[in-house]
Amino acid sequence: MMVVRAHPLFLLGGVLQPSVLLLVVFFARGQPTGEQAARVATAVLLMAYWGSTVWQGAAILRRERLIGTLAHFMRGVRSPMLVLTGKALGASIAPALLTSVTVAVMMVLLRSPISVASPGWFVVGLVAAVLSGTALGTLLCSLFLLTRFGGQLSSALLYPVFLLAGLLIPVEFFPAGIRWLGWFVSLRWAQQFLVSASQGTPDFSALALLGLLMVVYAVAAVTSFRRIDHLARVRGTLELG
Amino acid sequence: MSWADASDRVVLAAKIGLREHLADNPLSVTLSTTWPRALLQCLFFTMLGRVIGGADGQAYTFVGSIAITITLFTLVQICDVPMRDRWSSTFYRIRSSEMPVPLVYAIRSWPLLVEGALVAVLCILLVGLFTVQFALMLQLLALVPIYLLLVLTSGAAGLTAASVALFGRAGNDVFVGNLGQYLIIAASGALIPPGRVAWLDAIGSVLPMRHGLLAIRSNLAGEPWLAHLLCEVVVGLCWGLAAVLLYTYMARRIRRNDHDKVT
Repeated sequence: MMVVRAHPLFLLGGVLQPSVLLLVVFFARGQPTGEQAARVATAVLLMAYWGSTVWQGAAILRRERLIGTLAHFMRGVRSPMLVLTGKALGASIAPALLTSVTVAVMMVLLRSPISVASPGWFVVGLVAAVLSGTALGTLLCSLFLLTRFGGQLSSALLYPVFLLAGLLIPVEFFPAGIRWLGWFVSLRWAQQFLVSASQGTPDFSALALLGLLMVVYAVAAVTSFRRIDHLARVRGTLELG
Repeated sequence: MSWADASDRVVLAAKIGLREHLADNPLSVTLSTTWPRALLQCLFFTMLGRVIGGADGQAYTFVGSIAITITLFTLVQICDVPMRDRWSSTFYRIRSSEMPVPLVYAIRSWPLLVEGALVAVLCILLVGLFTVQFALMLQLLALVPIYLLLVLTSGAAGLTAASVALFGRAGNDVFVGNLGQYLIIAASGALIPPGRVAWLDAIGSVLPMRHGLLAIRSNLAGEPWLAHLLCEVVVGLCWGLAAVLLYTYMARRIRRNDHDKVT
């Protein structure tokens, strides 16, 4: 509750966005059932979660710079990468929990509660999605430090991912030439695994691809943060204050 | 203040509005991030309609998605116009000027209104082409004047929302603008046809876009549409009046008490 009070944007990504998307899908289309309902719920969950990750996680270092603590952050006793990872994890977990609760409550209110046949694997999928979001948030927040237009970039990244991941709109609706781009979006595999787990037939190849992309994002995050560190402390070309 | 003075001030406010807008959103950034995001959002909601209701659903959401895209500029980004004075601690200059506060912000918002209109036209052309809706695309191009009216009415609502953001807690600007946009997505009839959810219809009837979209859809169906258009004008005027009253009241309260965070 304190997090939500302190950052009203959590309400946008965690409550408002998933609620409105579910209302649109349910009332424009009619009641989805079974696997369709699970697909819609996980799609909305992941979309709202991705939106929060891009807005909250990716803004961590920019916020440090805005309030004047970035220099201390980079020169602290603890490894800045460790602190950043912790902050990114916090920025991922809070919206993930809020969004999950919102989607679950909305599905009940819309009289379409989802039954999860493999709850254990479903939780594993959610945790993997959160870790993947954490890695991505860490990567983006390092990149966004290089430009003062991070806000615009954050917002520009939302819809390409929603479209390419095939969350609410199946990739078959797009030209064949661009469908392969969705392979690099972890949300696609997260949804595939979560839907399969809810049906009791976990798709482990999707989980493996989700894990692989998480590792790729994490390596890219570490590399880009080292680059930021180099620019700031060795070359002195990145303003920290 | 003479007419010549007044017109000079209006021109100056318009120039400052453009300079501020370009400083925060250089053309290269606008063309590479903001406009593509707007077009992709329109494409997303249009294709969602196709998934939900086939070709008819896609045509329905295409008309509404263009209106939703306009709100990116007239509801979300417009909050930045007065907020720049809060961030720079320059609001005291605005409230002590001879021009009324709401008029200053209305004039400074013009680049966003123009952007909203341009992007609406681009959405009709590009999303129409991508989703192969050529006939509807041509029909909508003829109805661009109604979309221009929607730019103005939603801009009036955006300025009202911005006044709440300006005098509220820090960070409220993003929240209030986005809240307005989500309300319009859910209740304006852009995606969910009117008559399906009573409480959404009730909310939507006082929001901008709702009646204008009904006018567009009625026009497309060959039905009478002027009454809907007049309703949209009335709703827009009400939001404009609300903005005038809120800015005037807040500015007077700050002048009298001198205790607000907005300086």
